[in-house]
Amino acid sequence: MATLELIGVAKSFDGRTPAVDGIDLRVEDGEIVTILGPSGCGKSTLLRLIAGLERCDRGEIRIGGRAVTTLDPKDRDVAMVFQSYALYPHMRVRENISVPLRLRGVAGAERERQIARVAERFGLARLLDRWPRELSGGERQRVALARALVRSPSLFLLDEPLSNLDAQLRDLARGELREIFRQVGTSVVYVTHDQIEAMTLSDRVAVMSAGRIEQVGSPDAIYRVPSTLFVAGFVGSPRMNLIEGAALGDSAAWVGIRPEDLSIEESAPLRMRAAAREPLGSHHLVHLRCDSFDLRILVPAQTHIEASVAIRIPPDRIHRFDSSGRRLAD
Amino acid sequence: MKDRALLPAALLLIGIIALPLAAAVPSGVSSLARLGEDLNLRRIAANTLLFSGVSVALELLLGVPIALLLHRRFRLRGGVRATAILPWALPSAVMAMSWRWIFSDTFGIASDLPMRLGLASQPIPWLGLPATAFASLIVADVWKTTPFVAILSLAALQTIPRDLDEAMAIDGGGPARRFFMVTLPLLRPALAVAVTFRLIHAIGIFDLVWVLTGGGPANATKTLAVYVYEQYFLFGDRGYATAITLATAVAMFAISVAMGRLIRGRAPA
Amino acid sequence: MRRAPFILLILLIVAWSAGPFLWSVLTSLKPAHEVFRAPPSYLPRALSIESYTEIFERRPFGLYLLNSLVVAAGSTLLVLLLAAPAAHRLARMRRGRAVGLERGFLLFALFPPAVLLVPLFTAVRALGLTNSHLGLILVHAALNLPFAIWTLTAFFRELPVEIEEAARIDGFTPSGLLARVVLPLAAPALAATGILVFIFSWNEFVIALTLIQRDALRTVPVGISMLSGATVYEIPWGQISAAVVLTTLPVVAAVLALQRWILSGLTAGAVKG
Repeated sequence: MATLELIGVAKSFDGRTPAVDGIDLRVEDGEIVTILGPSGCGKSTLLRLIAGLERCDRGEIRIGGRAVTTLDPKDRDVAMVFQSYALYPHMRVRENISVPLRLRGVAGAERERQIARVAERFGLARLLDRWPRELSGGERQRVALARALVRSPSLFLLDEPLSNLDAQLRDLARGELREIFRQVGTSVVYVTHDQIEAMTLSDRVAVMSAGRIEQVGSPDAIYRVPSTLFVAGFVGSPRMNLIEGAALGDSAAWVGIRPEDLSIEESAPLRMRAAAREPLGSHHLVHLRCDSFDLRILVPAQTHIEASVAIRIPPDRIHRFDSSGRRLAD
Repeated sequence: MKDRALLPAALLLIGIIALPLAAAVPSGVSSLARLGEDLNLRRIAANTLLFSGVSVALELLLGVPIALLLHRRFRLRGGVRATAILPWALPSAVMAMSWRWIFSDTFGIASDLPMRLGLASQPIPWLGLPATAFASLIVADVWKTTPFVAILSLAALQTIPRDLDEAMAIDGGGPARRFFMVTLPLLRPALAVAVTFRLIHAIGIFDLVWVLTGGGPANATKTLAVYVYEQYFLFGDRGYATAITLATAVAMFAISVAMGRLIRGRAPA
Repeated sequence: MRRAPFILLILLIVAWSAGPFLWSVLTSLKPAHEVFRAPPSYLPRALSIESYTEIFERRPFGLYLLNSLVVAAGSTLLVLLLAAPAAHRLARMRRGRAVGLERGFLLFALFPPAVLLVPLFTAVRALGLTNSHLGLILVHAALNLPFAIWTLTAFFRELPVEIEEAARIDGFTPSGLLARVVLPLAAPALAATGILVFIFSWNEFVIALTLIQRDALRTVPVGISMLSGATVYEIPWGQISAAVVLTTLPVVAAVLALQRWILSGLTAGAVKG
């Protein structure tokens, strides 16, 4: 267990375009931090820099107060679960799990005891003599977790560990992961592009875009008070409505309002035409149009909507951003 | 029937290879008894096995590291790869002439270089003495066929996900551990193919021996295929030539397949 | 690995691989009296192309080249003609059945030519095709066919069957499908396989040595191995080196220019199969 500190960490693969562009981040002891961002934003590179699979061009990385910037992966005392799980195909489950112990000189009865312990926890006891290719996706994922957690690393890294599972299994695995994180108490850095994972699993979320961290905060804060235009548009489903301020007579460059925060009220001054309706199960997303902008509003599925409706925009639910995308004070 | 697309190919193989092979068997079988009485044959079979074992072992020891080097990213990699596979693509018999010139005692670079470096005081008659001629043969063959092992290894390396190596780096493995615990085990199926194939062809070697040493001096480098050629084309003894061929083929496949199995090891189910 | 040792190792590989060929180039450019100098000079003191002119003027080297060209081109064409339809059929067959047949074909590839020497020679003589290019072409084609079927089958398996199904729905006849859809798509694979077959045939020695005894019909490798003088000291090493260079030059050029294709042709079956 340890803290992780990133200080001005930067990396470029071609020497010109930065993949990771000056990241400062602190993960407290035992804290679970998710790096959330679209593909290509640099989040996986950041994780690989922390693991030592890539070297930083600039900046410093400290784990438990110890500078590890130039250390090899094996000397950083981190464990990692890969997106592909990276199970060794030529080793049975038991051998896969035993590798980190073998490489650290844990032998004999002690090794067997630890393997049995972790196999028990991850429900792998009857799979220990199987080959990886004989396992289902969910079983592989559990083996990868077991291999990472069989020893007690200072820091636990996960790179999109659920993206290879089908939707149903993913919901289940998400719950299991949260339980495991709580049990082991190790600091966790978790990379994902899935905001539901980020919201449900983490103490804090760091939203990344184009190699930079846009915002770090609790899942709730990220959702309720997005500090940049990018975070406002990226976090939340369905997406926030973003309108040029001028269209609403607002002095801000951009005004955002979430579809679930809009309401239909006959007395409201803003009249719009209903253009299309997207059923989303319990709610429907209705596309509205007026002369100068479009809006999407989330309504209960049974709501009847006239061709022309009056829309209320609650002033306290409005997010305002300047022309560089920074949030303006409420 | 759609499968008639296979017919012309099958006919050519049956007509040119399978039938003649089958037709030769009876005359070979009737001469098999003579194999036991032939003292030359023992020496030649031993030569062939020693040559094949040493050559293929060296090819593995050199081919895999070369593949590892060529697998890395660097500038001009394409050109280096092309140069490295060159020996394999060049004609054996023709390059054997080139090697004969290199190993020439009076004018050869292989004799001159050690003298200039102070390693030898007089010209080395590489092809003139049994032991050095044998060594020369192995050098030329290793030069020629290491690229084959390297190419197959390189192709196999490219199929090993980088994740696995990285996972072991994080789990605590240094470069040597990672090679022996991840890369090498995953290379084994490809190496098994390479070794099986290489052993078959090493045991059946003809071109290089014929041109470089002619089997001499004093039969020191004579191999089974050269002996078969002599029995048939010099002494006109078709029955005996076929008998040696049959015995060689059986031993060749047995050895190659066994070695292949050994190298493949236990396979994941 | 550190940078300097790595570069050194790469240079070593390059020097070792290209060395014998380069040494032949240097020897071939020396005038005759310098070739036979002891100790040898490493770089030619005077450049001369006399070795090159002599192999064409005093030896039938031009004829050898022509013979090799005819045989290699002929066998390459024959191999592709027979292998392409067979491989396509194998690739579109039920997998289990195809694997059995493929193994059947591959069995033939396991024999080194020297082991087949006696039966092959007997058969070709029975057909009356010794001392003819046709006989040699048939044998070279037979020896290379299994390899070609193997790599092309691997290639056709990669080709989505939906393209052919769409073409059939669009109204192509089976032969039209092959000629207008499959072969154009297969062109790169055919080229890669063809280059390798051509190189194998161009290089082949022992069969060419035994099937052809008339000097005017000999291929280059056999011709070169027989270039000689009356005694050991009269072996015309300058001319031999020139012949070695001219024979290997097309292969060197092909490998340098088409490295990627050749590698893919050679390993397609091995890795994907």
